[in-house]
Amino acid sequence: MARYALKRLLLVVPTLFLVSLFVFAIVRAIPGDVVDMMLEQLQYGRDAADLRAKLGLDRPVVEQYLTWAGQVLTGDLGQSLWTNRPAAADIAARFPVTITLSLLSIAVSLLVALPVGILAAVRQDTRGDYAARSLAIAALSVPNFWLATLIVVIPSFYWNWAPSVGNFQGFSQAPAGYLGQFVLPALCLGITQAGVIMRMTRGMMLEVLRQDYVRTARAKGLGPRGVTLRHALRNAMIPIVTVIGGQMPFYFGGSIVMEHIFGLPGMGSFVLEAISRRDYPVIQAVNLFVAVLVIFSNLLVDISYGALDPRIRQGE
Amino acid sequence: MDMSATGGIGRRDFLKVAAGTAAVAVAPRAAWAQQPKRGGVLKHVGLEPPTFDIQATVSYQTQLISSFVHRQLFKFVNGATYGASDFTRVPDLALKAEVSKDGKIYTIALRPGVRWEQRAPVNGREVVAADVKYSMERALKKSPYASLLGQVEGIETPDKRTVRIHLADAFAPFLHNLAEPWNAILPPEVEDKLGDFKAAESLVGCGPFVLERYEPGVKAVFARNPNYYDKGLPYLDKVEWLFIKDRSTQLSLFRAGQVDIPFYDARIPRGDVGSFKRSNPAYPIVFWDWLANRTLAMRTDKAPFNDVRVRRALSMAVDRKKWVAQYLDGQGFEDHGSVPAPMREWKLPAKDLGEGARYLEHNPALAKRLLAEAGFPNGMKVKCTHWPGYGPEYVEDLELLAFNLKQVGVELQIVNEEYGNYIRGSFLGKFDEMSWGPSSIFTEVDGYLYNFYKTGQPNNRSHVADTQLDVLLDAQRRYLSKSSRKKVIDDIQRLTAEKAYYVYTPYPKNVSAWTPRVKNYGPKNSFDRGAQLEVVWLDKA
Repeated sequence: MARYALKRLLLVVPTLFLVSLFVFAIVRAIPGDVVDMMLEQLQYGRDAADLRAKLGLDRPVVEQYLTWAGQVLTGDLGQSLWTNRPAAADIAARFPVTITLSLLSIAVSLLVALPVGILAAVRQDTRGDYAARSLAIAALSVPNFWLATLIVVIPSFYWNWAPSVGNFQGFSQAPAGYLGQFVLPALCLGITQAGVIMRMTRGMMLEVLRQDYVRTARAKGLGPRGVTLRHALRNAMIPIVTVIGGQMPFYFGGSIVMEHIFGLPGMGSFVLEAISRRDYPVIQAVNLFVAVLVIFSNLLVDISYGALDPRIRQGE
Repeated sequence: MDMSATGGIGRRDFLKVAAGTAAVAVAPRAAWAQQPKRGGVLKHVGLEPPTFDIQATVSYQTQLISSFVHRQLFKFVNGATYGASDFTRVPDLALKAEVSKDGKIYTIALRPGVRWEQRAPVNGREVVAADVKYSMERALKKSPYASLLGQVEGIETPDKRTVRIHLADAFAPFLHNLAEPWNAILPPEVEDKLGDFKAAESLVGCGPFVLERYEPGVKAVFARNPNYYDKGLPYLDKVEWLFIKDRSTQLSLFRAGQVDIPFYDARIPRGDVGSFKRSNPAYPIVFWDWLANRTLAMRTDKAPFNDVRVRRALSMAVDRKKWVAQYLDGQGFEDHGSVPAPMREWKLPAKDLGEGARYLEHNPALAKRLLAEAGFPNGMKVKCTHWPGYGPEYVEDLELLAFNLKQVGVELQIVNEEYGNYIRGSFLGKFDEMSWGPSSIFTEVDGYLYNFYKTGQPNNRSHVADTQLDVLLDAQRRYLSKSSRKKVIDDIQRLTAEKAYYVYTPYPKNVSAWTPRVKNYGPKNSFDRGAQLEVVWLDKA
């Protein structure tokens, strides 16, 4: 298992190198130049070449990349061109919000999708199954931003009530209040992603429930709960875990919209502003950080295969 | 030097300033039906700025937030009894100002006893002339608005409460522009300590409020400054300036009474007025004059827009009367031109524009004839850049403009641009054929004239290069007497209407609302939010 994990870990190095190249290049491919924008916003009509030199943007791109990569390797993600604040400090301040929202959304997805998916499979072609499948399709069809907007707008229109937004509390101030302000955005984000997991769970469970070893387990006299949860579900989980791992970027992406609507000070609004201001170091830092998170979450998924299926461990 | 100030802006204007001061001190407070109450927290949807340095940006977000803490030498009147475009100037940190006969030397006496807030590094020390000199010199060196101070040759501080400013030439908008938030007085110790004013910690001032807390991405909380020179103000204990970005969320919180003011200028969408009247009948809803022009800019430096007949045809294609009556329900301005309609003291009515008045009238037949004479009998196709992010109302306006132009055979091909490209390109005249959008807001008429028409100015989007106009634009800056200046500005309006360098499209009045507990609030075409809110009070704190 350790060798398997180490091998996967080593593969992260070239992946990160490619990601860093991509991130660096794509930021500079965004139409519009930070120098023009700063001249417009800060000192328009003055010397563009001088500003370009001050920002270090007059040097060859390769040299700029090497300087940036060298800084990143020493843990320095750079400074905002606009505020001079270290990007790492801003990420550290905002990441807990995004990760809390993402994790709670995943929890909502799993809490809804797994039981409903299992029940739908166990009671195939019953009314419950049809209802579950309809629910999954509805969840897949409803855009999360639309659902969130309805949740915010409709009660205010009819009952003069709106969820509390703009009074963000930190975890250290009020732990319950901190988690409470994520309930609605996590529901919106989690429900819409639950449809995918629900369909996958039902499909995999149906396949596994028809396997010989499940029949054998039943023949041994095991109760339906034990067969379904201990034998069938565990074997059905590998593709489901893969889907959840693959959805990580969607959770991060979806959190941008939820943060915007529910006024949460996460990385979403931060990176959107950075993009609109062409704040290269911040965009690079956030993208690289998210890329690392996604890579490591996929690594965790890979490692969990070994935990779920001993044959994978033995194969290594 | 004659300090009796008998000419130009001198005595007369400063008597006005003094009268304005008296008016602010007595009239509005006496006029309020209810006695102002102290206390309470005002929840105001605001905007988070890219930087807190007012002298290093044109960002209005920065001006709005910093105005809670910083003060200028002068300010504009505020409160429910004043109009949104009433820019009557009253002393703020200044006590009085005098100008020499030739308009080149301003002597400003500072209000005694004004103190910086009780916080390091200023620790409540007195605001002195050296602070004004420092701030003004820094603005001249760093601010993108520096040209709006005229040509400052030097600043003296004969004593700690007197500042003397020497200009190379008379500059009529000088005192007015000293009341703009980007001209606030800053304490030099902050730059010495922090290196710049970019961070929120640099918000140290002598204004009505002090920054209590800044939570990036969430809000800034301002508390009453106990050291404020006007001991009765502000009435509010605190203002929470909330960085809520989503418009639907802003309006929902407002409907639910969770915020008192739903946007940085209390605006609500025109289309939502009816639903607000139903869901929140007690909320005051007011229409008010907005100052930002909406213009179709053209490359007048090249064909086909270097032909005045084409430009006039485009202007005559717009049915402004119908636009305002039907589309804006009468709540807008059709009589539009180089001076915005709400600037009533400078605005020349259409009937007095001479020949140019013809080109503001809807006359599709004449428009088609002019186009034919210019070599476009079958009309033309034109690319028009635009940033759709201004909002759906702007997109609808542009579609309406395109519909109007199509009636005379001009097909507008709308090119939607990303904000970065728009603001660094089209907004500064970098487009191929046409561009449509709103202007920045200026509180002095010079902003709409000099910036839009003077050869080589960055905001001269239509690439106007007209020697006659340039002479007039320079002259209106030099005439200190208001009546003389008005004559020049009238001539500018006639000339610009005749030449039709821009097609001005009608624009709506703004509509704003606030919760019923907010009293003495009046929408304002200024970014000095601190001055606006220092006179506001809450009925039920």
